[in-house]
Amino acid sequence: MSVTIYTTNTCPWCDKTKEYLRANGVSYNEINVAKNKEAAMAMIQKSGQRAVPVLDVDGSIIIGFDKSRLDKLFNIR
Amino acid sequence: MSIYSFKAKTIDGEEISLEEYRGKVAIVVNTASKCGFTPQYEGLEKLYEKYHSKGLEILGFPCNQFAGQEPGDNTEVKNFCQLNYGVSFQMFEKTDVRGESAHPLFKFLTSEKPFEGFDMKHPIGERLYHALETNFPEYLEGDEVKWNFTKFLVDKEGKVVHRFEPTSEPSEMEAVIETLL
Repeated sequence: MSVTIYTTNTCPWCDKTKEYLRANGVSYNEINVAKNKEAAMAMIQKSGQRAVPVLDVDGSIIIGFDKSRLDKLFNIR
Repeated sequence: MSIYSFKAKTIDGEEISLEEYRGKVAIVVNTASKCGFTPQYEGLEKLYEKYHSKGLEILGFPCNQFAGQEPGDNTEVKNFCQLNYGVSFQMFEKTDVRGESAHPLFKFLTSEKPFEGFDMKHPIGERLYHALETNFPEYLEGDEVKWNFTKFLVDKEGKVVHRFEPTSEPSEMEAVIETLL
Protein backbone atom coordinates (compact mmCIF):
# COMPACT_ATOMS: atom_id res chain seq x y z
CA MET A 1 0.00 0.00 0.00
CA SER A 2 1.48 3.35 -0.99
CA VAL A 3 0.54 6.28 1.24
CA THR A 4 1.41 9.88 0.46
CA ILE A 5 0.39 12.77 2.69
CA TYR A 6 0.46 16.40 1.55
CA THR A 7 1.03 18.82 4.42
CA THR A 8 2.07 22.28 5.50
CA ASN A 9 4.13 22.99 8.62
CA THR A 10 1.50 25.21 10.22
CA CYS A 11 -1.55 22.96 9.94
CA PRO A 12 -2.49 21.17 13.15
CA TRP A 13 -4.73 18.76 11.24
CA CYS A 14 -1.72 17.61 9.24
CA ASP A 15 0.13 16.84 12.47
CA LYS A 16 -2.87 15.05 13.86
CA THR A 17 -3.24 12.89 10.77
CA LYS A 18 0.46 11.97 10.77
CA GLU A 19 0.35 11.14 14.47
CA TYR A 20 -2.67 8.94 13.94
CA LEU A 21 -1.00 7.06 11.08
CA ARG A 22 2.20 6.59 13.07
CA ALA A 23 0.33 5.42 16.14
CA ASN A 24 -1.34 2.79 14.01
CA GLY A 25 1.82 1.62 12.29
CA VAL A 26 1.06 3.09 8.87
CA SER A 27 4.16 4.32 7.08
CA TYR A 28 3.81 7.20 4.66
CA ASN A 29 5.66 9.50 2.33
CA GLU A 30 5.23 13.18 3.25
CA ILE A 31 5.22 16.05 0.79
CA ASN A 32 5.31 19.54 2.32
CA VAL A 33 3.52 21.90 -0.04
CA ALA A 34 4.00 25.06 2.03
CA LYS A 35 7.00 26.36 0.11
CA ASN A 36 6.71 24.15 -2.94
CA LYS A 37 4.26 25.65 -5.39
CA GLU A 38 4.69 22.87 -7.95
CA ALA A 39 3.84 20.19 -5.41
CA ALA A 40 0.91 22.34 -4.23
CA MET A 41 -0.45 22.62 -7.75
CA ALA A 42 -0.05 18.85 -8.24
CA MET A 43 -1.98 18.29 -5.02
CA ILE A 44 -4.73 20.70 -6.07
CA GLN A 45 -5.03 18.93 -9.40
CA LYS A 46 -5.18 15.52 -7.77
CA SER A 47 -7.72 16.42 -5.09
CA GLY A 48 -9.66 19.17 -6.84
CA GLN A 49 -9.35 21.58 -3.91
CA ARG A 50 -6.89 23.58 -1.79
CA ALA A 51 -7.05 22.22 1.71
CA VAL A 52 -4.51 20.10 3.57
CA PRO A 53 -3.88 17.44 4.66
CA VAL A 54 -4.53 15.40 1.53
CA LEU A 55 -3.86 11.68 1.65
CA ASP A 56 -3.30 9.62 -1.45
CA VAL A 57 -3.70 5.95 -0.61
CA ASP A 58 -3.12 3.95 -3.78
CA GLY A 59 -5.03 6.60 -5.70
CA SER A 60 -7.87 7.09 -3.19
CA ILE A 61 -7.94 10.68 -2.01
CA ILE A 62 -8.86 11.66 1.54
CA ILE A 63 -9.14 15.33 2.46
CA GLY A 64 -8.65 16.46 6.04
CA PHE A 65 -8.32 14.33 9.16
CA ASP A 66 -11.13 11.95 8.31
CA LYS A 67 -10.81 9.38 11.06
CA SER A 68 -13.61 7.09 9.95
CA ARG A 69 -12.25 6.79 6.42
CA LEU A 70 -8.74 6.20 7.71
CA ASP A 71 -10.00 3.49 10.05
CA LYS A 72 -11.76 1.77 7.18
CA LEU A 73 -8.84 1.96 4.76
CA PHE A 74 -6.23 0.79 7.22
CA ASN A 75 -8.43 -1.60 9.19
CA ILE A 76 -7.95 0.35 12.40
CA ARG A 77 -10.32 -0.69 15.16
CA MET B 1 -1.89 59.80 -1.58
CA SER B 2 -2.55 56.36 -3.06
CA ILE B 3 -1.73 52.74 -2.25
CA TYR B 4 1.39 53.18 -4.38
CA SER B 5 3.08 54.96 -1.45
CA PHE B 6 3.30 51.69 0.47
CA LYS B 7 5.62 48.73 0.53
CA ALA B 8 4.93 45.20 1.68
CA LYS B 9 6.74 41.89 1.96
CA THR B 10 5.51 39.02 -0.18
CA ILE B 11 5.14 35.54 1.25
CA ASP B 12 8.57 34.73 -0.18
CA GLY B 13 10.10 37.50 1.94
CA GLU B 14 10.73 39.94 -0.89
CA GLU B 15 9.81 43.56 -0.21
CA ILE B 16 7.94 45.15 -3.08
CA SER B 17 6.51 48.60 -3.69
CA LEU B 18 2.81 48.67 -4.46
CA GLU B 19 3.84 51.01 -7.27
CA GLU B 20 4.07 47.72 -9.18
CA TYR B 21 0.28 47.70 -9.34
CA ARG B 22 -0.06 51.10 -11.01
CA GLY B 23 -2.45 50.87 -13.95
CA LYS B 24 -4.16 47.76 -12.53
CA VAL B 25 -7.43 47.36 -10.70
CA ALA B 26 -6.53 45.78 -7.36
CA ILE B 27 -8.32 44.02 -4.53
CA VAL B 28 -6.52 44.22 -1.18
CA VAL B 29 -7.87 41.64 1.25
CA ASN B 30 -6.96 40.32 4.69
CA THR B 31 -7.22 36.54 4.59
CA ALA B 32 -7.39 34.04 7.41
CA SER B 33 -4.16 32.17 7.80
CA LYS B 34 -5.50 29.79 10.41
CA CYS B 35 -7.59 26.76 9.86
CA GLY B 36 -11.33 26.80 9.63
CA PHE B 37 -14.02 27.87 7.27
CA THR B 38 -12.55 30.15 4.65
CA PRO B 39 -14.66 29.75 1.51
CA GLN B 40 -13.91 33.22 0.19
CA TYR B 41 -10.53 32.04 -1.11
CA GLU B 42 -12.38 30.12 -3.78
CA GLY B 43 -14.48 33.13 -4.74
CA LEU B 44 -11.44 35.39 -4.95
CA GLU B 45 -9.61 32.82 -7.02
CA LYS B 46 -12.55 32.75 -9.44
CA LEU B 47 -12.49 36.54 -9.76
CA TYR B 48 -8.77 36.40 -10.38
CA GLU B 49 -9.09 33.74 -13.06
CA LYS B 50 -11.88 35.64 -14.78
CA TYR B 51 -10.41 39.16 -14.73
CA HIS B 52 -6.64 38.81 -14.38
CA SER B 53 -6.05 38.98 -18.14
CA LYS B 54 -8.12 42.19 -18.22
CA GLY B 55 -5.97 43.82 -15.53
CA LEU B 56 -7.21 42.68 -12.12
CA GLU B 57 -4.69 41.93 -9.37
CA ILE B 58 -5.45 40.51 -5.94
CA LEU B 59 -3.20 41.18 -2.94
CA GLY B 60 -3.84 38.79 -0.05
CA PHE B 61 -2.54 39.60 3.43
CA PRO B 62 -2.81 36.66 5.84
CA CYS B 63 -3.70 37.89 9.30
CA ASN B 64 -3.95 36.03 12.57
CA GLN B 65 -5.71 38.74 14.53
CA PHE B 66 -9.12 37.14 14.11
CA ALA B 67 -7.89 33.59 14.47
CA GLY B 68 -9.79 30.96 16.37
CA GLN B 69 -12.87 33.12 16.42
CA GLU B 70 -14.66 31.91 13.34
CA PRO B 71 -18.24 33.13 13.33
CA GLY B 72 -19.50 29.83 11.95
CA ASP B 73 -21.05 27.19 14.16
CA ASN B 74 -19.31 23.90 14.91
CA THR B 75 -20.63 22.10 11.87
CA GLU B 76 -18.56 24.46 9.77
CA VAL B 77 -15.32 23.88 11.63
CA LYS B 78 -13.56 21.50 9.32
CA ASN B 79 -10.70 19.15 10.00
CA PHE B 80 -8.44 20.69 7.40
CA CYS B 81 -6.53 23.88 6.71
CA GLN B 82 -6.84 26.01 3.63
CA LEU B 83 -3.70 26.37 1.64
CA ASN B 84 -2.70 30.03 1.33
CA TYR B 85 -0.04 29.14 -1.15
CA GLY B 86 -2.27 27.35 -3.60
CA VAL B 87 -3.97 30.55 -4.64
CA SER B 88 -2.52 31.98 -7.78
CA PHE B 89 -2.83 35.64 -6.79
CA GLN B 90 -0.13 37.41 -4.78
CA MET B 91 0.07 36.57 -1.09
CA PHE B 92 2.03 38.68 1.37
CA GLU B 93 3.62 37.92 4.73
CA LYS B 94 1.51 37.55 7.81
CA THR B 95 0.33 41.06 8.61
CA ASP B 96 -1.51 42.89 11.36
CA VAL B 97 -4.42 44.83 9.92
CA ARG B 98 -5.89 46.56 12.98
CA GLY B 99 -4.66 48.23 16.16
CA GLU B 100 -1.34 49.91 16.89
CA SER B 101 0.63 47.28 15.01
CA ALA B 102 -1.48 47.52 11.85
CA HIS B 103 0.40 47.79 8.58
CA PRO B 104 0.28 51.43 7.35
CA LEU B 105 -1.42 50.21 4.17
CA PHE B 106 -4.42 49.06 6.19
CA LYS B 107 -4.51 52.27 8.20
CA PHE B 108 -4.68 54.10 4.88
CA LEU B 109 -7.33 51.78 3.38
CA THR B 110 -9.63 52.05 6.38
CA SER B 111 -9.27 55.82 6.65
CA GLU B 112 -10.15 56.16 2.97
CA LYS B 113 -13.13 53.82 3.21
CA PRO B 114 -14.78 53.79 6.64
CA PHE B 115 -16.92 50.97 8.00
CA GLU B 116 -20.53 51.23 6.88
CA GLY B 117 -21.97 48.13 8.51
CA PHE B 118 -22.41 44.48 7.64
CA ASP B 119 -24.88 43.01 5.21
CA MET B 120 -27.20 41.37 7.73
CA LYS B 121 -28.87 39.38 4.97
CA HIS B 122 -25.66 37.49 4.30
CA PRO B 123 -25.62 33.99 5.91
CA ILE B 124 -22.91 35.00 8.38
CA GLY B 125 -24.14 38.58 8.87
CA GLU B 126 -26.12 38.11 12.08
CA ARG B 127 -23.69 35.56 13.52
CA LEU B 128 -20.66 37.69 12.83
CA TYR B 129 -22.27 40.74 14.37
CA HIS B 130 -23.28 38.84 17.51
CA ALA B 131 -19.92 37.09 17.78
CA LEU B 132 -18.21 40.47 17.74
CA GLU B 133 -20.73 42.03 20.07
CA THR B 134 -20.15 39.23 22.58
CA ASN B 135 -16.40 38.66 22.28
CA PHE B 136 -14.90 41.84 20.86
CA PRO B 137 -17.38 44.69 21.27
CA GLU B 138 -14.56 47.19 20.71
CA TYR B 139 -14.09 45.77 17.18
CA LEU B 140 -17.49 47.13 16.23
CA GLU B 141 -16.38 50.67 16.96
CA GLY B 142 -14.42 52.77 14.54
CA ASP B 143 -13.40 52.06 10.98
CA GLU B 144 -10.69 49.46 11.36
CA VAL B 145 -10.95 46.03 9.74
CA LYS B 146 -13.60 44.01 11.58
CA TRP B 147 -12.88 40.50 10.40
CA ASN B 148 -11.20 38.20 7.88
CA PHE B 149 -11.91 38.86 4.22
CA THR B 150 -12.51 42.59 4.28
CA LYS B 151 -11.95 43.51 0.65
CA PHE B 152 -10.78 46.92 -0.58
CA LEU B 153 -11.18 47.68 -4.26
CA VAL B 154 -8.57 50.02 -5.71
CA ASP B 155 -8.78 51.71 -9.12
CA LYS B 156 -6.08 52.08 -11.76
CA GLU B 157 -4.77 55.27 -10.10
CA GLY B 158 -4.34 53.65 -6.71
CA LYS B 159 -7.43 55.27 -5.21
CA VAL B 160 -9.55 53.20 -2.80
CA VAL B 161 -13.01 53.19 -4.36
CA HIS B 162 -14.97 50.57 -2.48
CA ARG B 163 -14.90 48.54 0.73
CA PHE B 164 -16.62 45.17 0.89
CA GLU B 165 -17.12 43.68 4.32
CA PRO B 166 -16.71 39.94 5.08
CA THR B 167 -20.47 39.75 4.54
CA SER B 168 -20.03 40.46 0.82
CA GLU B 169 -19.10 37.54 -1.39
CA PRO B 170 -16.35 38.06 -3.95
CA SER B 171 -18.93 37.45 -6.69
CA GLU B 172 -20.84 40.56 -5.53
CA MET B 173 -17.82 42.64 -6.53
CA GLU B 174 -17.98 41.76 -10.20
CA ALA B 175 -20.19 44.61 -11.38
CA VAL B 176 -17.98 47.27 -9.81
CA ILE B 177 -14.79 45.59 -11.01
CA GLU B 178 -16.11 45.63 -14.57
CA THR B 179 -16.74 49.38 -14.46
CA LEU B 180 -13.14 49.97 -13.29
CA LEU B 181 -11.30 47.73 -15.76
